[in-house]
Amino acid sequence: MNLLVIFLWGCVTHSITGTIQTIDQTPLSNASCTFFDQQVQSNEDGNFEINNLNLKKGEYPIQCTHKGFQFYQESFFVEGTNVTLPPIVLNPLEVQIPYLRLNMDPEGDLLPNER
Amino acid sequence: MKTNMTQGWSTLQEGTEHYLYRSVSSMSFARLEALVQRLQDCQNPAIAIPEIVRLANGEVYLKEPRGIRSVEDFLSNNPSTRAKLFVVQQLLKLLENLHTFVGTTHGNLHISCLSIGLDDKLILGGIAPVDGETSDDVDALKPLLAKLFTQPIEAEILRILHTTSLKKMRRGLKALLAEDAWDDIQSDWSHAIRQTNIEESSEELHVEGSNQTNTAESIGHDIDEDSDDPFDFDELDQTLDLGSPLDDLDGMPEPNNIHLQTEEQTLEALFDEFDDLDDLDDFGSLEDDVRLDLEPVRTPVAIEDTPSADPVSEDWSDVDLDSWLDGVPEPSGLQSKGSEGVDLPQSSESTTEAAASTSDTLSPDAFDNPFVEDWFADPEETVPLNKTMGSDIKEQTAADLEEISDFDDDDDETLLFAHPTVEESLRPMDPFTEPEYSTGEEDGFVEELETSADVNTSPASSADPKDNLDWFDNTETADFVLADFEMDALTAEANEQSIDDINEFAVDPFEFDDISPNESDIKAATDIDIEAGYAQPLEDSTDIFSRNAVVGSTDSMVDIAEADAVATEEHSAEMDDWFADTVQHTTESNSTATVRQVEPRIKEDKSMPKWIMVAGATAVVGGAWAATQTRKVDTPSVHIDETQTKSLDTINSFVPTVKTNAVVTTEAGEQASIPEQVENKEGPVTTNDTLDDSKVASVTAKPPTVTKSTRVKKTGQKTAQKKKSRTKAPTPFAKTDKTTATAQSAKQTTAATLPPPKKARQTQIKKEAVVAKADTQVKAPTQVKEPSTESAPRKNLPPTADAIAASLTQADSIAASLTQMVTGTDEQPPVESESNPSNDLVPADPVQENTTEVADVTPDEQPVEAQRPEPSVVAAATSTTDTPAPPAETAEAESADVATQDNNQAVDIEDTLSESVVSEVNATDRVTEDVLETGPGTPRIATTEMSKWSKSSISGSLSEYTVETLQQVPSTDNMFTRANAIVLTHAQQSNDPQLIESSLNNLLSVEANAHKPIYLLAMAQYQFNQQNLDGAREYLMQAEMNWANVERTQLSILRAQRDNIVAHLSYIDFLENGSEDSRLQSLTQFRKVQREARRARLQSLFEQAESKMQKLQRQKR
Repeated sequence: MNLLVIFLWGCVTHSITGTIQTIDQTPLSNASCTFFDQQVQSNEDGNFEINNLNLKKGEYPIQCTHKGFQFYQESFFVEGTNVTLPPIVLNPLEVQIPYLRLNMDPEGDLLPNER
Repeated sequence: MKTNMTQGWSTLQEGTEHYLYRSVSSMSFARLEALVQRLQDCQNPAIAIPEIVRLANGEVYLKEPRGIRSVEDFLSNNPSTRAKLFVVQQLLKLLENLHTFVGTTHGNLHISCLSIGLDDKLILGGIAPVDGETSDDVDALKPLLAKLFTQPIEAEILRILHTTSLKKMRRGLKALLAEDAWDDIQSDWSHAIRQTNIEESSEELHVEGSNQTNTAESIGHDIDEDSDDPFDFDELDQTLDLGSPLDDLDGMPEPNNIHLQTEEQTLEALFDEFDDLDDLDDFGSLEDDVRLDLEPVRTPVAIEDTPSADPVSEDWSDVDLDSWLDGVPEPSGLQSKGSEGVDLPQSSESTTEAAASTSDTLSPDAFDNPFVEDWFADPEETVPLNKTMGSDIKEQTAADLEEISDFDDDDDETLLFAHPTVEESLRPMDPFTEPEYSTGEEDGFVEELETSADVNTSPASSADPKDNLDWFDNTETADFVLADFEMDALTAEANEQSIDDINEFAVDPFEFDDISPNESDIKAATDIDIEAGYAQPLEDSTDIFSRNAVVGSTDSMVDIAEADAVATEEHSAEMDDWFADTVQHTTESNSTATVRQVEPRIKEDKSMPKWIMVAGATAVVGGAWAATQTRKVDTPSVHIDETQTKSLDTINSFVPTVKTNAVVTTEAGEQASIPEQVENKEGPVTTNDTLDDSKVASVTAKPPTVTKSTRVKKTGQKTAQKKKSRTKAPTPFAKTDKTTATAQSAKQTTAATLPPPKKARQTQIKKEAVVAKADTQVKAPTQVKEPSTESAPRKNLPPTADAIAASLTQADSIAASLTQMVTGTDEQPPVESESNPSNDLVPADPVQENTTEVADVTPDEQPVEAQRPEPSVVAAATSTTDTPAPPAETAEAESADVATQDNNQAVDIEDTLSESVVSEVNATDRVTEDVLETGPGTPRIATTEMSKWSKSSISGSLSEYTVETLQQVPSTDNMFTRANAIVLTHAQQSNDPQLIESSLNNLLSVEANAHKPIYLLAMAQYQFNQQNLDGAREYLMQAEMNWANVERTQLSILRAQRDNIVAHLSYIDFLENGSEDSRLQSLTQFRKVQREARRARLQSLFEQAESKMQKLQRQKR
């Protein structure tokens, strides 16, 4: 009986679910979410689910990427069979190239003051 | 480049290459050729092979490649003694090769002859074409050694190395090196290199021994006594084939890449350009360069980060395996875990890693780094992977030791066993595992089971540490097996090749077969096989064996075995292929029987307890087993030792330690629903994992899968280095190839509509032709009558101009006709009037003359203006004729009109005839430079006013009214470009995206502007800031294609701007995927930006790049 219990215990798998959304809480679909070897895509509601995980209790990182958004990586403490992660917020890429102090006037000096 | 002829040495950076020049004019050509030929025959990449370069003035130079770092710089960073010893070791080896294979002495050994290449190898150059004794080199080595070992503590080393022959020196060196672990030596060497600046400058090398006897022949005669007479590379003739100094945009073709092959004038022009622009390594500003480049970063980085964070080291050339290996736990650290020597790995594994893996459970420590670094995935780096990742290190170590041992083969054992703990040092440390075992009874059960399983499998791994100490033993085993096999020479060679190709198989994520069986593994497996009564298909055994052989998993043998228990039941075509391949290898190597013995043992290891459990369990167990057998292998099971993964991860990545307490957990009661979810739903979540609920084995098998697949994606470090150094890492431009045709924004203006650059030039030429036609003014009436006929100038109009012309309303034409009737002039419709250069001259009225007189236009503008027979021109002339006032009065009248300018647009044409833009400058300075084409609202702007606005635009302080005025300049006006450029400047400085876009669109609508990189880059930057990365790449590409149009005075600035955009695109890549590779690439790009900003004197850009670099460095994993 003990062996059976042990075996059944070994068969226990975990699942992780979560939601990916933008900073304004808009669900992000087709966001790629990677947990160790499993990679899933979020659905239209931004939800994703990773199943069949055989985990030990502990802290695990999860990564989410989406085109146009900064990649996300965070560690979560996983305990229990069904784990629901808090909403994962992806920040948009808002990198700007500051404009140099250049004078585009063809009649002027391109770099008027810095030279 | 200037060279002091009395020195005879000089370096020159040409593009990314560094060269050493040496005057050998006095040498006979045959002798030089012979030397070069011998050096070529030597084929030692670390011995520089010069080429003979003849200058136009007859001077003959030897030009040879040089490493990117000089040893002098290397020494200036106070490297460790070990690193310096390694320099000497390499130098001695090179010298010996030189003596042996080239048959010559160096002849002029000097520290400046030494450099460090991209692969962190010492490069020996400056070989003099003289005949000397080897003792000459030994003598020359002594002062060199004295330079190397300057510390008092190194006096003993100097004493040891001061011998009379290279051989003795080698022995002494070997003894010295043997005192340190090879890893430490390599680590110190790599660290010191990373701290060494890349030799960017082209400056003279001082030949200390220029008066040496062996150099007298080569240098003494050819030294130009007139050392003040600099050697100017303008004199280079076609024999000097310089690279493309401007081609630094990662493979992007640069129009300015002038290949110096035939035309000396071209060469001169190129170097003139370089001289002016400091493109050749800032000949005139070396000190500034160094200061700017290095000062801001090094100090904080050195303190905060690991050595690899040194900005200098961020160049691709600095990325080496050794740097990553620095993070590997030191052997001593693991020795303390259990110092039982050989048995250590087994014991420690059984308590940590294997236990976790036995339960088929992922432990947190296995996730240290989800982004497995690519450096270790290089097949070259994983050749003999008989064991865990440590084998990688071991391989390198062994190979490097062999390098040393080349000195004296009989002492190899000493060195080999100098680092017996290398293997151990690579075993992952798991800080989390043990505490977790102590929590909860269930965990205790699992642990118990795992431990028992470990004990069962311990024999398989017992011999690993010992065997791992020398992978050559394994190689010998394989060779021995091959030797036993009766085969012809070709077959034997093919089999050897198969063994050599092991690493190639290892690259594949699905491939873990190893054909180089480890004797210990075989033996251990065979031992256990006795107990195994579990028959398995033979094919599966190969897989299992090979996995064990490859992974060498002393710690996760059970894990693998269990996974295999499932995996081997599956027969996908892919796996069969791989197995077949492996079987073929093993069969050929006559080791099939041995291999197959392994299978039952492993099955027994894994399946015995499960079999018992299955036999005694309920239908649940049976169902699970059945499910296991039907499991779909979506991704073939690939098994990697977890320790390997962990080690790699530990080395190369950080683990975010942010703990989220908000995680909602539900306990095991819900477990039954999990399979249902997976089976029944298409589900909101699409998982690429198609495994059913045969969780135990499947999940266990998957972690290695992901690890392996990740590794496969990446490139080995050395390979990456080479790739980057040769072709450079793929830049954002690479993506342009994919998206060029699809860039939406680009289509609107330039991408698809732009004519090739030649057309722009042709347009300019035709412009001049139009000017010439100004004298032939009489044809205007004909053109008026035939508005649809395209005149010659009309043809030159850019498409957008055509569109504008075509868009003129019929009302305008009618109004113009009315105006013509009123004024009584032969005015023509606006479109046609443009093509008629005569109308402005036909009336020849005083006002018209006045207009042209006061026009303070540039020479380029005057002809254009002269050809402009606009209705408004005539109207203006008429108007001013009606009011024959002096210019000052006219100005006042214009000023009065300004206030109602906007209203004038809606007024009759007659009103517009006198319309003009007010000029606030003095009347005497006022010029009516521009005469406008179309009717309502088109202003005339004085040049001085434009200049004033131009200055104001730099600070973004143009008023809205001014901006509007500038925007109203029609596209056919010769001030159109300038007006929009001023608007653009203002918009950029005031950060007004809409204004930027409109002004850029206006600018690029002019054909000539569409080929000016300055505007294309501005558009690229705008597109980037609008997050249209594809558009940015497209315009960047356009700018690159038209780079030849860059004005010389703008070259450095635009290069900096261009590189800045490229760097930001790379930065975006990093932000999107977070990979270390993209981070390093972005760092490299920003370093380049810094370099260019420094050259262009763009301090603000330099600081921006610095800021980005620091940010990137902080994000280092």
